[in-house]
Amino acid sequence: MRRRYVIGTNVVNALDGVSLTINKGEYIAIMGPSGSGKSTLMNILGCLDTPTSGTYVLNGVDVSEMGDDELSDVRNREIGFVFQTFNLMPRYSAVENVALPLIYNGVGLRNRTHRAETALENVGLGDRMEHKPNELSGGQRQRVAVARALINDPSIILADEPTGNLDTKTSIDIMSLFEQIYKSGNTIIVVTHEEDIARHARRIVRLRDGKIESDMDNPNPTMA
Amino acid sequence: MKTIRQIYEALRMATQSVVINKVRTLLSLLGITIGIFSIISIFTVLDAVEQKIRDNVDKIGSNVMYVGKWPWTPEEGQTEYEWWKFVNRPSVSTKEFQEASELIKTAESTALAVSIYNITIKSGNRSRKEVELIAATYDYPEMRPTEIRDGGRYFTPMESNSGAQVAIIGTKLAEDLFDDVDYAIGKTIKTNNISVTVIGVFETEGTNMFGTSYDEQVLIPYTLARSFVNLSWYDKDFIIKGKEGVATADLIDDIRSVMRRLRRLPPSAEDNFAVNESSGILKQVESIFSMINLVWGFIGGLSILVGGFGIANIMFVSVRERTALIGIQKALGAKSYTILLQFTFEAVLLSIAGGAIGLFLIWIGTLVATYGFDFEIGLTLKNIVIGLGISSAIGAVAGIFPAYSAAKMDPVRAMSK
Repeated sequence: MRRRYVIGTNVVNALDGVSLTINKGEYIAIMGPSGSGKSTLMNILGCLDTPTSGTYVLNGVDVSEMGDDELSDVRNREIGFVFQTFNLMPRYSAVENVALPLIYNGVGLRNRTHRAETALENVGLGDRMEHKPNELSGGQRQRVAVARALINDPSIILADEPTGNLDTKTSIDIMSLFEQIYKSGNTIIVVTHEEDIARHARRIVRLRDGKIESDMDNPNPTMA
Repeated sequence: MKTIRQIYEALRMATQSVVINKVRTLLSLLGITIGIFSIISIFTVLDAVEQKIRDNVDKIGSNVMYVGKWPWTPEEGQTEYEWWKFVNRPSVSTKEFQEASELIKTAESTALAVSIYNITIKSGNRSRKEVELIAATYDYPEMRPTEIRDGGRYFTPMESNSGAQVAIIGTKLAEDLFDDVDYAIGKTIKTNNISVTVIGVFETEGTNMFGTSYDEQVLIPYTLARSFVNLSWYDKDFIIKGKEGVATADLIDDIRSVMRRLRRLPPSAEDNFAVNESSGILKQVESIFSMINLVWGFIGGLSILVGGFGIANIMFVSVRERTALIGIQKALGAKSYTILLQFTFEAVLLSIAGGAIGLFLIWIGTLVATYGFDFEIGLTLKNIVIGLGISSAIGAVAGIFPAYSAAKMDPVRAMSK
């Protein structure tokens, strides 16, 4: 895959020929310094962007030529996002935040709320259902985000610097949550520049200047 | 089902946003509020005035024609009232009335009436000045229906034809002369030294749009009037009520041809009489009001336009403020149309709220007018629907551009804002 950006007269090759296969049930970390193209790769993997050339086949479907609304559908069904800045809706309660992707999938209110409550219980926030994001700690907010990512039973959990805004202890909590999710059969892609975080994954891909620098298994993953 | 749910969710999100930014919302609604207020208030006033006029015309009776020297409105095609032409026309004579009544086949009934103004009425040592005396033939009440209070009665045909010294008087006049209205019947009143017996009192009628009312009038047999004034000096009204089902135009044609025949007018000559329609006044008032309507509507339209820009502006601000949230929604799978609907609904909701405030102010106004100033006026359902309809249309038009800009946002760039 290639992704080229044109900024004024400059042409930037953010991704300069990346070829990558990720299998179902893998736990993979994508690493690289800033400017390495990892954000661009993440956006493409998350169907937020499409490659300039090359194809992206997700679950046997080529999504590289899809239009905006089709991509919205794919994101809704196939991708569970966990962001560095949590990206929760500030005026929604925890339950409403977790249920949000279900709205776009046309699930009714009662069913939606029930599923969101179960998801929150699974991440250990059964007693924080009606709290708004500003009434929750950073770790709790990220748990809400994880619950939201899982709500539609997606093919990929895509985490972009998930611990970037958290202290060490809370980071360990979140990573152990990921471990748990991985063990229950989910595919997890973590994009990070922190070695400690990447070492939780079973496979580590390193990017530099828009190319894959290395792609290797991690035989001794950190168990949080 | 999926789409309906999306629409519902968009509506819910829109409502939340409107409720949260109360003060800002209220201020940006002012334009719409003023616009709807001016447009719907004029509609409301016009409806009330028109209703009042219609009630009056119904009282006079529809399909009733007045033939006399004077047209009530400038003649068709004329902007000026050519009084110098009309003043020299001959008045309708008693003979003409009798002959025409026979000849006009489309007439149900006819009457000849004359109004004598500035009469002084005396009873004992009390008197009332500036009373209007109407002398009319027997069938007059058919053209101008009214009730006579219990205890009184209308003229008999005998009394009417022979010019008996009897009268029916208005309630106001009866009160002034006899204190107790019911006490008036059987009493004698004097005008121009002729004694007349009161045989009936009209039911209270209230003032009509011509500023006249039975309440202060005296009705006497036509032939009685001859005995104290020279009727040839007075302009008489020849009143014709058409038969049921006869078209107004046919009735007018019939009257005109009969009158022209009686007056032996050659085909080249203009009519030397005027045929007035009782509903003619209504037409004229309507044309005046449609003018006011236009001007006021223009003012209202302008402020609604300004209001629309206000809504568009506040929506652009709203979209910018919520750019990050739009990004999140899109990342989580919201489609363009969901976002588009969400912001359009918000604009429509804002606009409807603005219009509703305007309607509420009008409603307060109608209460004040009805109970404070005794002018009966009401905010009709039709006008409420029109007001809210205009509001939502403006909201949709003003909201669509900001909403489109939100819908087209790139999720990645929006989230990083």
